[in-house]
Amino acid sequence: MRIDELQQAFAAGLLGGELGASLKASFIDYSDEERDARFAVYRNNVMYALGEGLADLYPTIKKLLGEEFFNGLAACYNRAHPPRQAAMVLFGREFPAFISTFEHTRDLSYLRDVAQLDLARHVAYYANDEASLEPDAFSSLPPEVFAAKRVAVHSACQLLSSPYAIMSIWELNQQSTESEEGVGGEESGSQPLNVDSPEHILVMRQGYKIQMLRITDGLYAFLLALKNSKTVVGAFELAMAKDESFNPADAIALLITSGFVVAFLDE
Amino acid sequence: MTSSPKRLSLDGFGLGLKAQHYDLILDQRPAIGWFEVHPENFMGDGGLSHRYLDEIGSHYALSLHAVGVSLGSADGLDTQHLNVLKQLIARYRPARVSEHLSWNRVGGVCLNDLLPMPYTEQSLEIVCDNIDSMQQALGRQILLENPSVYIQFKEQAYSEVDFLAKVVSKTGCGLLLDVNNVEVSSRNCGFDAYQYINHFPCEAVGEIHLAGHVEKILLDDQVICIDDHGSAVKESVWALYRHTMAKIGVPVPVLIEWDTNIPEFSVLFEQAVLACQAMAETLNMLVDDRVTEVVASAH
Repeated sequence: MRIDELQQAFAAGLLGGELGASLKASFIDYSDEERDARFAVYRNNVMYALGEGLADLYPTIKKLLGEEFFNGLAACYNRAHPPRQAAMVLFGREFPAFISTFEHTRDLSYLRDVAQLDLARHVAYYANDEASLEPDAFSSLPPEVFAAKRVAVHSACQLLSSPYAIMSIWELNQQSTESEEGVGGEESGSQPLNVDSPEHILVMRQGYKIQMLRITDGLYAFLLALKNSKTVVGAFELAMAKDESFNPADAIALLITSGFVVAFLDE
Repeated sequence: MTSSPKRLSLDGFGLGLKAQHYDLILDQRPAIGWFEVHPENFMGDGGLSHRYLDEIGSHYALSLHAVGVSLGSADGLDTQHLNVLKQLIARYRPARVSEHLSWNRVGGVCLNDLLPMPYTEQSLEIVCDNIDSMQQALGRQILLENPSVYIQFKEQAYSEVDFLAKVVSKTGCGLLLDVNNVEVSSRNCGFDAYQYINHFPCEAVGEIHLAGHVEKILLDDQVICIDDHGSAVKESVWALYRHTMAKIGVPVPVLIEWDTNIPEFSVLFEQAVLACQAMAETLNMLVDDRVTEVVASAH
């Protein structure tokens, strides 16, 4: 058997397919049972490692679904979307989309958005180390010059918007991780979680610590517009159209404290 | 004129670097020689893991032990992956770069395991071409590691040892001799581990790996050894290591790998000390006073 054909057949077998006749014939004369058991060592190694990788990347999804359900979902995902590169940092990116189409999870519509939040934290963790602009860089610009600027956004900063309370779900799972209770567990003194309450979130990294911040409609529209290369004044206009309570002074304060901006871009 | 005999220090001994030990290593600066990492775990643009590796690399020699280059791939190498590896080498200036005699990539899919291949003329050509490409892209020699094998192919033009010797002579690469893998494969494939070492091209060995493995039931009364790096080095592997050192005859860098069920740092460190003592005894060398002190303080 040629090596390229053998590798194709071997990989297909690892990802759950039947072992082809010529692949079987390429091994020494084991009994069928022994051959399958030996091949399963590789298959189990691969599926276990991919499953662990996905669990590390999506801890909240694992917590929400429970280990058994998560492992089943992970196995289906990993067969459908095996990694395309060896760099682990790039693995598992299609998982949120997969969750929203997979027959046993597609009705849990908040789940995809929670997965997006887990992924955003992962991306922030491995994002490029860039220095954000210091407050001086903002205050030293004349207002009309500042208003006309576009900005380069820190690569750790990501914006999420969901019709569900995904950050609250994330936080509740942190608590339940600590107290070893399920997500639905009644926590005395805490408000019951209304899942159907929209949240806009800024995920960022300060130093090496991942931070999440709930933001208003207006601030979300403002930051998103900046990320989409609008000028500061253009972003103000979009935000005010979206949210009449939007306050430009708050927005500028957030830009500075969050480290959102790494550079002002010239026209 | 008298000269004191050369003493063996821990400088030649390394440990696999684990995130849970980062802070302890920087706080206590254990007297180990070097640390090894998988470059595939450091391929993000930035973040905390790079900061730690920068800092640890400023105090210790590093070795990049790749698992994702897929030297056995009939498809050739992923040039983008090699470029990222090259950037890591430029950043961390490792003392050694190594990869396995195995494959993990086919048809654009990357399976994160070290998969086996038959040792045929065609696979020799593929592996040599790929090592040539890798060494050329990186501008340096690499070390090639013997894999742990769980299943055997019928078509074998070469034994693994002869295959590795051919690769060395055709590409000029060095070898990373994983003594635990020899033990694991010998048990799984039914060959004599000592004969394997006796025929191994020891002059090409630039690094040795030691690790733990586990026995699992394959079928009814049949056992398979799994290279899980999840426990202390087994007695049989220490014995094979002594045999290996007697054959090599000179000190070689030795690494302890421990990747699952990761224990406290002191447990890893003790394994390195044991490897140092065993090497010294085999080579009729004395160990450095610092090693003696470490052993004394541990008891």
